Amino acid sequence: MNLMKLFKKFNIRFLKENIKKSKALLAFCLGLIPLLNILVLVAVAISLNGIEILDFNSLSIITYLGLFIIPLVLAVSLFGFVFKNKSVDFVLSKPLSRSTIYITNIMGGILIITIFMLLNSLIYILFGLIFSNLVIPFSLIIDYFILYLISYIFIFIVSSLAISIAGNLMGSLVLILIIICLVPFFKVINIYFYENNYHATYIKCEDEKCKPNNYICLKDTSCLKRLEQNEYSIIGDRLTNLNFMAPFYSIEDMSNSDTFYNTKSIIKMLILIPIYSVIGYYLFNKRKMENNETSFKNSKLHYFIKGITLIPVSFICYLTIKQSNELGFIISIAITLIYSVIYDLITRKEIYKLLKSSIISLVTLGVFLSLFGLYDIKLNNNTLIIKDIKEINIGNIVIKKGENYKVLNQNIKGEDLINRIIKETLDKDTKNSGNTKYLKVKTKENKNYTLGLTWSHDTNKIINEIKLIKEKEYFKNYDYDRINFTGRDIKPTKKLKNLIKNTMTNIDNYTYDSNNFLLEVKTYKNHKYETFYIMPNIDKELDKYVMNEKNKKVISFLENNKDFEIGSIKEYPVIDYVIKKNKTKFIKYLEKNNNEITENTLNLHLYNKYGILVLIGDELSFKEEFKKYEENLKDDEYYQMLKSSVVEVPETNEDFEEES
Amino acid sequence: MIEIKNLTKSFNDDKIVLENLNCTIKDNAIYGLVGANGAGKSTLLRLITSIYKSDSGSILIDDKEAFDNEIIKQDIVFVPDDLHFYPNYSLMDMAEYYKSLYLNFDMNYLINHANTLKLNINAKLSSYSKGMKRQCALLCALATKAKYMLFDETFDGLDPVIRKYFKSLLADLMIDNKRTIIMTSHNLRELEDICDNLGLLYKGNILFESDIDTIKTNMFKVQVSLKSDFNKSTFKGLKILSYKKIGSVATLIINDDKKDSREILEKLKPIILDYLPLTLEEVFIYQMEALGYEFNEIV
Repeated sequence: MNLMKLFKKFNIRFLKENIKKSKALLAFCLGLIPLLNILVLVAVAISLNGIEILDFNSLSIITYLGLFIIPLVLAVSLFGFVFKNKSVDFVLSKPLSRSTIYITNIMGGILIITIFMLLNSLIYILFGLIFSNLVIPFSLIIDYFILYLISYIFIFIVSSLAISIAGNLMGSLVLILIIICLVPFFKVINIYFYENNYHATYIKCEDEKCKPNNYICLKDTSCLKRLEQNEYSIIGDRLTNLNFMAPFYSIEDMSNSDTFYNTKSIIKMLILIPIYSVIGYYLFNKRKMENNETSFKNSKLHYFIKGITLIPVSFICYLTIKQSNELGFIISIAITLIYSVIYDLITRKEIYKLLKSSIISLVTLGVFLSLFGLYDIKLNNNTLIIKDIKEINIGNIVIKKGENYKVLNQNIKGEDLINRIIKETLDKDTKNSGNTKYLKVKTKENKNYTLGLTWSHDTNKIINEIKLIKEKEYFKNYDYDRINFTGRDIKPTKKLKNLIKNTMTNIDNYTYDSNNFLLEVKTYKNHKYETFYIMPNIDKELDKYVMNEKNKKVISFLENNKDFEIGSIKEYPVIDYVIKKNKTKFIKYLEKNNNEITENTLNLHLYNKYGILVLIGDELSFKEEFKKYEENLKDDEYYQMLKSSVVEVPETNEDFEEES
Repeated sequence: MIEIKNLTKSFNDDKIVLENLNCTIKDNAIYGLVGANGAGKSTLLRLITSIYKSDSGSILIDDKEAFDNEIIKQDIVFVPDDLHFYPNYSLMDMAEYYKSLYLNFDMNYLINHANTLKLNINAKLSSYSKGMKRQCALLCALATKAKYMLFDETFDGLDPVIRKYFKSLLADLMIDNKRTIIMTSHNLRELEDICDNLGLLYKGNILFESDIDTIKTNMFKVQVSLKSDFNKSTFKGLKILSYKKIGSVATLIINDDKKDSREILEKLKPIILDYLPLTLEEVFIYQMEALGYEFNEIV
């Protein structure tokens, strides 16, 4: 069927009427998510304390939760007539072919989801425009739109497919769960077995360049046998790629990352959407419309579907039996029988064939338990052999020596260097001298592992040089114009972006002082925020600009408030403002702005390098006091001395402190 | 014209409802479909309207394959026995629904007759009685002006006045436009008044079909008594559907398609010979009895 024919089958009048009948439910469900999104955004906007940047998951959590309801409600609203004889009669007796009904509903559902997602995206765009302090990068909204549009359509198509097969809502729900959860579940089972069954991890090394000089096997015969095969013991684990479709995406990313966005999941869904649509179309056209009001008319199909749903139950039973033998066995039988009865009751099938149904469930349980057992035995004492390493992920950058800041992941790809690292890792001498780092390693077969690698200082130098070159390249090619965020108090103006660009492209190396103020730079790039930190004082102009921006509020407060007598003591360059009266008001202002400062501690307050002097005594005595410093201290020590003599309130960055 | 050829339909692969059914329903006629409960009347209507898919065989409407044919379905309207209305819909909403799908839907026709029947077109259908709901369904169907109108248990729940009203509407439609109406009912008296043809569905097949007049002129109830003793075999040459003898009087239900029964019976010199016309209900019962359907066991 070509595209034109497909569009000809789309009957807008039928769609309109089909939606009209469920308009209240659809309006509620489809309106609820944008409404909640607005409420959350309003709450965020109201509580803004400076500039706030929204990450993908914070932005989309409500839309994500809606993924479990909206597509299903939409599919049931459009296709739910198949569950009842009366509605089947009503709809199918109208001048509509089955293909028209299916295509109209599918295209209509996609259209509704698209409008729904556009509406949500528009809300974000508007909020970003209205609240200048709420940073929502446009590319993030585009990602949000793409991911959730495809995910919602995917779940909607899966729901429609399930409804095309099952006879009632419960049957459809069971099928939806099977289609969506079965593959992730198998993967999880697989991970469980792998993680529990690796007896040892070996690395295969046939090249002389990677063979260790000093490798010890002691009296371990299996080790010696492995050695003959050029296999060396190493600390390591297999990493399984978890790129599921909606709503799981990547379980690993969901717990560790700030984004659900997963390109592989999107591609998988894009491939499966047309496939499931075509299968649904075929099944809907072939559907026996008299089969409704029970899950599946065919009892064989009922038992088959029930058998599939027994897989997770059997897995739990397997684990229970493994833990507590006889008792576990009895518990497993009980769990299975209860599940069997509940399943029959909710799907309204085979309710009165309790014995038959129970026997089939127990036999199915037995089969799955045996399969799990066999798999377990097969993997028991299994050895993980790693070969042909393609690249080693050496982690983050050197310029800023802070391990917690993941700026960019760099990979070592040179064969010689990889062989050298492996050799040194296996070598007893290096093992004893260097620190072991657990790094992600990718093989030529595209398998990922975490390996405990150790290398010498010489190798470390080489790695650092490589890192440095890569980092320079990275910062040279960095798109500074796309910077979205430069801290809570500082707007990412063009001038600031240029200053950052100049700093990062000219700098060779420096070490962060975590006690110093760090400028957090975020850019939404490649579907996530890339973050790096700059210490502004490495560049005079940048430092001046940043501090000026940070103090804007305080300076403006001081300059626009006539209650204060503002003066400047020109002899002391660190003192910019002198408050001679109304100091309590100023203290209150500082307190309001989260400055931990009280009247007792305040004498000279260095606010982000702006010296604000609050005179307790008279101006003359203060001048005299500071003259002493001038006389006794050298110029370069003067500032430090002054710093230590005042109550300093550094500008805190909670996130930064936590990470530190 | 509707031509049904070798139509077979079973449910759950084992319960055969219709088996090799062959039938022709001519245009411009009202066809009454009768049969015992579970004979497959509703199933047949659902197959004609493409609600169900047949296991084998075909249904041709105006020489075109009818299944899932949108053009053909534009000419078909079906009112099932169990009515369905969307929640919170009024008659007007339902009419709008029909209008959006049937190209020839006549809204004025519906509004005029709804007014006559004193149906508030803007009131929610959920507040209507069973009979009023059926009136709404029938009005919507009639307003489609479809060529083929299929009614399952047409007048179920309607009071006699309304029944008469709808019968007249059907008659008007038949006069004004060429229509084919297929209706099922358990109330054979009702079909008797309105149908031109009748088909008896039995065990998944059309047992007989004929026009009403022929049925009524061919079948008689004959009360007969002879001087001498007699039994069923005495009446050789007659097509006896039912035979009952109480005392010296026998009651015979005969199929007199050759019109020679009176001649045969008079040759026996009967003491009593009365020809009584049969109602359609009696025709149905006696035909079914002749096929072994044990009414006595049910009643």
